[in-house]
Amino acid sequence: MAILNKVKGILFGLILPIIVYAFFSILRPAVFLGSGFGTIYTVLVQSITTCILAWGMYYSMTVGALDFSIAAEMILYEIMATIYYQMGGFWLMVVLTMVSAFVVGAVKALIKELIAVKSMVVGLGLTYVLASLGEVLSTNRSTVIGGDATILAGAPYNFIILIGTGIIMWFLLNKSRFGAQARAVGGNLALAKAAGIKDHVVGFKASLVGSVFAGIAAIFTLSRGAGVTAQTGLTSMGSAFSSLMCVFISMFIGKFVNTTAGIYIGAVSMSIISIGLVSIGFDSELNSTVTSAFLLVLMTYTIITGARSADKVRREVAAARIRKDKNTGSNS
Amino acid sequence: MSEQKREKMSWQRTVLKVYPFVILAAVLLVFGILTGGSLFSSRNLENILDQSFQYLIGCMAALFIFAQGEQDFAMASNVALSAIAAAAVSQISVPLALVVALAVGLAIGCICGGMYAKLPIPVFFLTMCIGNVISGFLGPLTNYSSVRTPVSMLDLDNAILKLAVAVVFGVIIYILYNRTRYGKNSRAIGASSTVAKLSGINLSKYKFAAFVFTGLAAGIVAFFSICKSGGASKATGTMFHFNVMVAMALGGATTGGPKVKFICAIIGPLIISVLTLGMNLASVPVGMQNLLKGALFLCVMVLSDRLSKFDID
Amino acid sequence: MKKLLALLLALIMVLSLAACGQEGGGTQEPDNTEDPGTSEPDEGGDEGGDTGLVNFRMGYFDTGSQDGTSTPLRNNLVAAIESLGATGVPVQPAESTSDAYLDALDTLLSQDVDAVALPWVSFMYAGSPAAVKKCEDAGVYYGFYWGPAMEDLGEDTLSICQDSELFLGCFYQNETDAAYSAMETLHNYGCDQIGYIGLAASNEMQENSRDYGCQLAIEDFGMEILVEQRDTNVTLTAEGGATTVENFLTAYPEMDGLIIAGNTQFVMPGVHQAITAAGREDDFKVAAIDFPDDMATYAESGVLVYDSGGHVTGPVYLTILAANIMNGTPLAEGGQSYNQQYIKLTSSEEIMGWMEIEDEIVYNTDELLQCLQVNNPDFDLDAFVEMVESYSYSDIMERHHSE
Repeated sequence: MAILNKVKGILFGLILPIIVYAFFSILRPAVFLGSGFGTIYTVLVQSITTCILAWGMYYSMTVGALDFSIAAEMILYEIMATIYYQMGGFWLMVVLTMVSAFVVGAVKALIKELIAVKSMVVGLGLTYVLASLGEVLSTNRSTVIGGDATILAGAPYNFIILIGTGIIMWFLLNKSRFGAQARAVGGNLALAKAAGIKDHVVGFKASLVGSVFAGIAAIFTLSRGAGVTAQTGLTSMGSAFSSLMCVFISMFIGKFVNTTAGIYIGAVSMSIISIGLVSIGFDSELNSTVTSAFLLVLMTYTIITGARSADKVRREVAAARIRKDKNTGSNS
Repeated sequence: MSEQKREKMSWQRTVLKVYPFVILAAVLLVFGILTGGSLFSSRNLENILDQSFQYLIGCMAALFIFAQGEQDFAMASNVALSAIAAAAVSQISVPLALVVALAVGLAIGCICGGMYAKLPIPVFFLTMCIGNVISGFLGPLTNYSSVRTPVSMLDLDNAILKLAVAVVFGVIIYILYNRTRYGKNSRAIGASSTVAKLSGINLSKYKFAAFVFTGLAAGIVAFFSICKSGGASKATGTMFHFNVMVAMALGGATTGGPKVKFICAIIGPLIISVLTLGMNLASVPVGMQNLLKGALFLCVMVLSDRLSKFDID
Repeated sequence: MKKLLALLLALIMVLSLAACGQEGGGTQEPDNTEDPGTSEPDEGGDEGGDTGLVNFRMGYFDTGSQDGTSTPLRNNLVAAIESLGATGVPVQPAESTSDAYLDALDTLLSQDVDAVALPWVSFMYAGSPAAVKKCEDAGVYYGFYWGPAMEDLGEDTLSICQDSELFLGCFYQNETDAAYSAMETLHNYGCDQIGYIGLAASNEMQENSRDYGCQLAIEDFGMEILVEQRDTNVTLTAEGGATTVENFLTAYPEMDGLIIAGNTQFVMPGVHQAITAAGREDDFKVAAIDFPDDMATYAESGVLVYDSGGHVTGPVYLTILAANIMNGTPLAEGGQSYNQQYIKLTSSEEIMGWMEIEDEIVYNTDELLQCLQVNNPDFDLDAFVEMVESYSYSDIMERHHSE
């Protein structure tokens, strides 16, 4: 029964990408229907990077912090990966990139925890520093890799990476003590502290998990592109926004499907929209306008419904207290 | 409180108060030496004034919003759109271009302020989204090219005029920020919005007003930007909001409330401009320049945060 | 009080340094062409060392990037500056925007340069009048490269520089021809159903000329452009290149060729990766404008069959013009247009051949010294124009590799 409910939930969750795909199939049947499974495969693969970044971002959101620097981190790790590849080939590239993700992620997490005030401004500063570090590392250096290192971009390795990372995400979030602590800290910090949870440690770990996910996304993305260009300033925020959009879509369909799957469904939906808009001649620069406007509406809706739910809970608690007081008064 | 503790707090508070001046002095000293004194040539001093102008205007106008503990991340897109609109009409009339720049800047400021006042969305997120919404259609709007201005407008790009505008704007902002309730109430909101609300301060009004100032500043910066560069494009004003944020942090405004003083908006832009020009003259690669700026910003944030718990009466 | 004292003390210290320090100096010229990022103290005086030439300060923009165009441009310019007894003054713009380039120009002009090489493509029609005006006000010689011919500079820019003694000239490439040749090569390989990656079409970028070249080829050879990708957010990354080609191949399986008319150095790795991942190396061909990094890999696989680039000598020619003026023997009265050539490589084999000499300096010291009338009275404007217009792969081979 539980499994049936889960399957039903996933099917309900898939309604969004199906509707979007159907919409663009009507507008451009040659692209969305004419090529058979080709377009679907392209959509599924192109969603992977955004999805993995969104998973990483979600951890920080769980503890109440929004980490826009994850996209800049990914680009930095890609640049580092090209250096490692040139030093010693594919396997050295993979191992050292993940080690770098761990180390740089730990430093980044430490800086964030050193600053007690959880401000978006710090995130922007980190984005800027990480992007600049990438720029410095890539100056006077070739940032391409050979064909032998692009194996991870092809099937079945791309889906192995996706599913493997997804399992890790789901396990950490739902089955591990760390996930429970992260939700406690994000839900009510005072209560979590009172329960003995060290919020700084949890925050540190959440940020570190995000960085590791950025490392995985970097290796995959580099395999797809076989090269990388440093992005200066806050240019990488665009990718971060796309990942954030996936998270909000997953919250929207959260009733039907768990967060992990919901984020991938969000990424797939975004990918279909992106391909669809280009295929109908929509200027792709307007993607940013459409995405941000939609995000604003979605966030407003989420916050308002969240506030209403919280209000409803408070009213019910107050009503229950009044009933209890009345009962106590009538008993005495 | 013990004497020892009082003394310990004293040096921390001193550091918090003087670090912007120390940074400015250090930057002047270091790059003065590295460039062999050429940083202080008349041409370079003019360059410093020229390059700090936009951040002076931006930071002074942003005082109100910084005092409330927030930032306006739509400023860059606001500057771009205002500049494009102004450049488009500049061929008809240059004074009209100024009016259009200010009007568009104010309009976007009012939209941001209205949404900030009425919607329960974090302002960082709100202004980021609005900024992205605007920047997304600038390319198609301009057909991915620059909107040119008449050559005669290049004559308006002069140091004396900019200095005069900065001084006049500075005096107005100083009076509004330090001598009227706009500034006082903005700082109160930044200290504690709950207490401010309970004290009878109309939060919506002051939230809205803060964005009016930043919108106006965006219009001024947009106009002088097109005077300098001969046109406007979607790239105009790139990173403006971030540089304002960094300048304010370096100037001492790392958190909201009473710590945000007028002098922050003067010292911060000067630090940024001297630092940038100094590094250019010393042939520091751009990637390293950005890294140093970002690292300095993070150090200031950490330092300020660590020492702020000692800044109590 | 403490704040004021701290500031006053610092100001006194630095002002005393300023009084002792030199005006205008501060940046140095890279010490060798292999590692242009490093610098050494400026030792140039008024006379350029052993050459007996007048030392002058040549300002230029260094993007700091490592790609198939920026690196040879920088290396060749530095070699020319050294050979002609000048001192190089580089500046690195903060961003690739017109505003950032104008700020960088201010920094250059504050360092007492005598001449400056301006990349027109970084200023465009809007920014070039401001750039020209700054140079005129500073009394500095200036010229454009990577731009249009003089008559297409724009009324505002032309009105300032047309009759100016400070204007050295502008070096332009034939973008229409480059694009036409690219399309023609694809057609010769049997590819007529083409995808297009390039910059946004507008009324001012060289993309318009390239588009025109493509259009002419379509008419002449009966080709068809099936789909375009012009979004710079996509075409500035390798992954964007991969995504674009995947989408192209998915939507248009009949597509058999691709022309990359902009941002080649960014998208090429991803484009190549996507084509090889799809197993289309044998039947899908790519023609590009601008040399990407690691061109040999793309040519070896047979995917890249045409590339035009190597238009890196514009600043070198401007330096030659400036050096002649500084040594009292100007080659021309006022500025004019010069047609700088692309290196056109029309097959994978030619591309592989070019890769063997790509790091070579195009004009060695002896050749450059012969471009100064003080050394070679026969070198006049006609000889200079011939030098510029003969630049090609075969020209380099003939000069440096004829045995």
